[in-house]
Amino acid sequence: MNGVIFLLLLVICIGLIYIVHRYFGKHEFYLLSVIYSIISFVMSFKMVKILGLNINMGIIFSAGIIGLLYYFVNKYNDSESKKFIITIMISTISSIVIMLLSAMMIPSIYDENIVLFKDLLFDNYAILIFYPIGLLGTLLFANFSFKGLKEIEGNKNINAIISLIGITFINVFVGIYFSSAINNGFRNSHFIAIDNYFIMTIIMIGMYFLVNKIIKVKKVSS
Amino acid sequence: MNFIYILLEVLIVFLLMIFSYKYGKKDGLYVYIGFMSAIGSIIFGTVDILSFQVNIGIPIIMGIFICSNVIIQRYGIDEVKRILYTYGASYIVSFILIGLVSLVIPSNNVFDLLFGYNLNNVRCFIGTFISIMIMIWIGSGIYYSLRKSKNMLIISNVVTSFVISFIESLICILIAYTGNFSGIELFGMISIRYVFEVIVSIIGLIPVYVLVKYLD
Repeated sequence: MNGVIFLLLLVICIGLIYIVHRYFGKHEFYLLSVIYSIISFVMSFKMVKILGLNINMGIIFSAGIIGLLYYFVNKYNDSESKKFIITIMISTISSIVIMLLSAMMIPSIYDENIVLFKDLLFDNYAILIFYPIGLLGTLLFANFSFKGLKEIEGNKNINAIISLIGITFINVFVGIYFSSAINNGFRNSHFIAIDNYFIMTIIMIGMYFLVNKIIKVKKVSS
Repeated sequence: MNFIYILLEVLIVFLLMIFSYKYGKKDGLYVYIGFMSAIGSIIFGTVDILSFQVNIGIPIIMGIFICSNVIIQRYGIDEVKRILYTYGASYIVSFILIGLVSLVIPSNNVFDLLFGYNLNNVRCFIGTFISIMIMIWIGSGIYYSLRKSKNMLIISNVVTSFVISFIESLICILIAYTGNFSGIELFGMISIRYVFEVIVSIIGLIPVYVLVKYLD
């Protein structure tokens, strides 16, 4: 069941990128990126076990965000990819602030949601700090790498895979390792980070090839 | 204390609207609607204000409503379809995807209770979804006809919010909470929600003025 839902979310994540590319334009990509940033942040609070590996559910849509950045770098100019990174960071930080404000309110006696919000955010407070830092580092490094990849002529798959391994390393070891270490202790977090690194690298490489294929698909409007 | 937090939320919501317009113009406003819809699908809860329960998502709802007014004011009534699609798609996609994760086991109890597909969450989701769709649809019509007859920013915004906030409060509260509370409590919740929405929309005149008159 867990594996099925994980795969389903992956298919939806890449499927939405395909749909937006085929039927819509650049501005809908910004809309999608904002939605992915919120979903990825919220899902990063959930850790599950799939095939014996501890996986943070946020990695699916984090990979989606990096896939979108790859699309932007290849399809549009440098200023658009910078705008994309700023949009993602503003939406992530604003959603953290709005969620924190909601959690700090004193709930009515009938309300359970605010209490649950408090538990979710304050028991995992390290995520609130390390998730945005990890995301920013990942996006900046990914932007730099993808721009470099764009200039390479001929077969660039090997270089792309090496850079994706590096990009995933930053995302997992800043965003997941440290937050998990503070929340659950350093001993457990080694294994959690390695599991997530392994799975996210596979997702990222798959995403790279799929986004390359999507870019080649002709738009309906054109 | 809750008042201060809600005011801060209002401030962030309106600052984001101004920022979105400044850097993205019309499309920035659509991204803003998408962002607010997505965040609105995960922020639900009630706090006591004047002994009645007020939903903490009201600033977000009014942010979407005011933004749709700004779009209608600047770009005309033809935009209403795109506003509805943007809101509907973002809200549904976010709710369904985040809810899907709650089906994964071993479960994080807090996460699942908060975002899972339980009856209360689904009712809140449907209530908010229908009420905001109607709010944007009818509100845009009222706003546009007021704008056409008297092109006065304050009158168009205030009158529209006075009418439409009542309809939104009625539909949302009846769908989301009927059966959970007594008739008097429901009446109180509708009234306080209505008053609160009107207050937020009056504060919202500031970003409307900034967007329509000063930022180009």
